[in-house]
Formats: sequence, structure tokens, C-alpha cells
Amino acid sequence: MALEVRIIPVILLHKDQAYKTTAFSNPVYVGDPVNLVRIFNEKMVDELLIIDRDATSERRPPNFELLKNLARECQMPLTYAGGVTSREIAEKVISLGVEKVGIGSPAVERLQLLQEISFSLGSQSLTTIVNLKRKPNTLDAYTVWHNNLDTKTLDPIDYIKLAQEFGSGELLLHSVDLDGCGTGFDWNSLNIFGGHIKCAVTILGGAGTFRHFQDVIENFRGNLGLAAASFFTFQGRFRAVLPSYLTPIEKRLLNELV
Amino acid sequence: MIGIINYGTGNIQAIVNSFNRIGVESKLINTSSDFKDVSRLILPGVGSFDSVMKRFSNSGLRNSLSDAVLKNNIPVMGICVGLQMLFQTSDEGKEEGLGFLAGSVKYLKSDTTHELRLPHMGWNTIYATRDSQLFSLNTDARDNRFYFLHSYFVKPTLDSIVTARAIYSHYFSVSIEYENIFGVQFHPEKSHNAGLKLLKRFALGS
Repeated sequence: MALEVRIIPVILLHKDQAYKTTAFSNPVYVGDPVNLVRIFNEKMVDELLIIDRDATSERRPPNFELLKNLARECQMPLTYAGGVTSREIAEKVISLGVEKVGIGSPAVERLQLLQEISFSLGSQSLTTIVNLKRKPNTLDAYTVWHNNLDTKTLDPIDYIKLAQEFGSGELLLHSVDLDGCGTGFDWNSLNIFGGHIKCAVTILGGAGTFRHFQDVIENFRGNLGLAAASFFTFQGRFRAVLPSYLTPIEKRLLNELV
Repeated sequence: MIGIINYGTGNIQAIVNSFNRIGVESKLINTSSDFKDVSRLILPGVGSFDSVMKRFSNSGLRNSLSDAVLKNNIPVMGICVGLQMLFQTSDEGKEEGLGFLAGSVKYLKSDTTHELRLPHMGWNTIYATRDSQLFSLNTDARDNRFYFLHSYFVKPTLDSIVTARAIYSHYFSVSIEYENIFGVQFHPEKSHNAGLKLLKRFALGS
């Protein structure tokens, strides 16, 4: 077998606990994040992504103490995003034992940040998170979403190209609209942006069934990361909290599609 | 006692945790005096070749490492850029490597593979080229996949020191063994059970 598809559970932090939202609202409590990391360790997941969106929106740095404990517990590669607004903060996050820093909104505010981080830590430690929102009444036009700034004039393709020029080792395409919906990944965005991405690429937002994972890979046919929060957190009709992962056979099926 | 060389790069905590999990004693090497009573060494490394080499050269540990490895034959295993540092030069930068081994570090992307996605990021299968201390030709398939995160690979002058390869557009070396010098391109400290078993094999010298 060659390079495998990366299947990545996502833990969202809110007030230092794990939460899950739908389109960034209606947070539902999930549990103690350290315990969740332990569970994902046991399931031997490929990678883990931990996001503290509040840190960015509340304009504060990451909770380093919590992050240190999470990194210490995590036996697989860990990406952390949220509140990483400077090279110094990125360096501190990596020094705690995190493999990659994820930069979303802070890069929209100041693209130079990506260059500063990649220069200091290397491209392999930098993931740029591109929060994509569909333009109203369109199927294939997107904006790079930021909760505060007006990004109407920011061309997503230009943004994606610059993010790579500034040293991103990975680009994570996050569908803001489909977040938590369970109706399928936005593989349309991969069709539009995939050809412009030369570094590692990961997609997040909308996974609801195993079929959705198959759909993306059949469509993309390249090495890819597929990230999901709800899918690996909630099970059943009543959305009970039950962390899960793909089985080895499901993973093998996906790899055969690449 | 395993000495983990701490000069500011690499996921030191993950390496310490991994040795704890397999019941092997380890300590951090922060200064030259920390080298005593260490039976084996780990040389981690993450980041660009030049930044890692400069940081290491400024750490004050370089001479002690050379003495330990080249004079006292202490086994050392380089991980990721730590493996690359063991060689002479790298296409990635201008700095010279430690030169413990002859050879250079090359870019995974070549003229014929300019569409290759880099870094090589994710889990990939390694193929042992022969039986060695770290690998066996008969290793279970579950123990043959590890996590990679790099864009460059080592090209030893002496091909016989290569003990495993992987496929990412081309079939390139991911592990070397030469006398007391070992190295792996992937991250055993982040490769679940396969990684733990490999670290154990290095620690026990079997």
C-alpha cells in the first residue's frame, strides 16, 4: 500500500470542554477533551485536529495548560487551531508537543503571519484553514469567511495560492455552511480549488455517513485528508455522544478508491 | 538509559512518553554533561534543514554527540530531520550536516514528478530491504506502517546501509543502519503500536 488517505476526528473546544456546533452555532456539550483524546488513542486514529474557535473570536491566546495536557496524551499527530495570531504563539504551541498549527481567521487578517510561521517552524508544521462560505444563490462560488471582516473582495483562489507561497504545508478546506449538517462533504469545493493546491489538502464539514467519505475520494482521486467532528462524536438517531472511528475494513475500502 | 537530545526541535515530549509506555528509562540531554551514563541516543529534528543544523550547532552539544557516536560507539537513532542531519549536505539548505555518514539529502519532487503533493504527509507502508536491528523482512503488515511528515529524503552514498524504503512517487530510503548509527525518516513517536515496537527494538538492541 502507498500513502493512505488521512481520516481525522475533530475536537472542538468551548470553555475548555469539547463541544459540537451546527454551522458554528447551537453548541452541544460533548465531554472532557483529555478523555476524548484517550479514546481516540485507543482507536488508533490517523491524526487529531483540535480547534478552539473562541480563542480567535475572543482575541485571546490558546489555553496552553490544557493544550499541554492534550498534547501529552495524544499518541498520534496533533494539529491545533484557535488563537494562534503570532509566530511566538505558534512556536509555543509546537513546543508543547503539537505537530501542526492551524491558522484560519488570523491569516485572513494578516497573510504575512503564514510566512513568519513557516519560516520559523517549517512548512510541515503549518496548516492554513480556509473557511469557505457559499455565495448566496450560487452553487460553485465561494468566499473566504471571516466572522468580522468583509471578505467580498478577497478571491479564494488567490488566497489559496498565496497561502501556499507563504509556506503552508497543508490547506484545510472547511465548509462553514455544511458544518454539523451531516449531508455530505462539500466535494464541489475540492473540484474548484483542488487543482490549485500543490501541498497536502484536507476537507472538513458535512460528513454524515461512510458513503460521504467514499464520495469525496471517488471524486478527488488523490491523497487527501478527511476531517469530521459530528461524524466521529455522535451516533444514532438521538445523536448520543459516542466517539467512534472507521473500522480497518472501511479504511481499506477508502484507500482502494484513491 | 536512553538519552534524548534536547536542542529545541522535535516532539521531545512524545518521544519521552513513548519510552515511558514501553517501560524504557529515558532522560533529556540538555548539556554536554548529560551524556554520561547514557547507553543509547535519540536525535530528533523537525523543521528546515538549515534552521535545525544551526540550532543544533548553537546548542553546545555537537562535540559531545560526535564523541559519543564516533569515539565511544554509543548507538544513536536520528528521527526525521535527525536522520537527515547525520549526512553531509542537503538540497534543502546551505548548512553542512554532521557528516557521520556519506551521502546527501534530496528533494522528493524531481523533474519527472513536479505534480507530487508535498510534504509527504500521512501514514505509509515501509518495505524492509533486509533483516536489520530495526526491521525484519517478515514483520506483520500492521507493524509496517508509520507516520511521515517531510519533503526531503536521504540518499546514502553506500546503498547497503539502507534498511527500509517506502513508495511516494518513487521508492526512496526511509531507514538506515550502519554500525552504531541508525535513522528513520518517519515519526515512531507518533505511529501508535508500530512506532512503539520500533523504539523498543532500538532500545533493547535486539
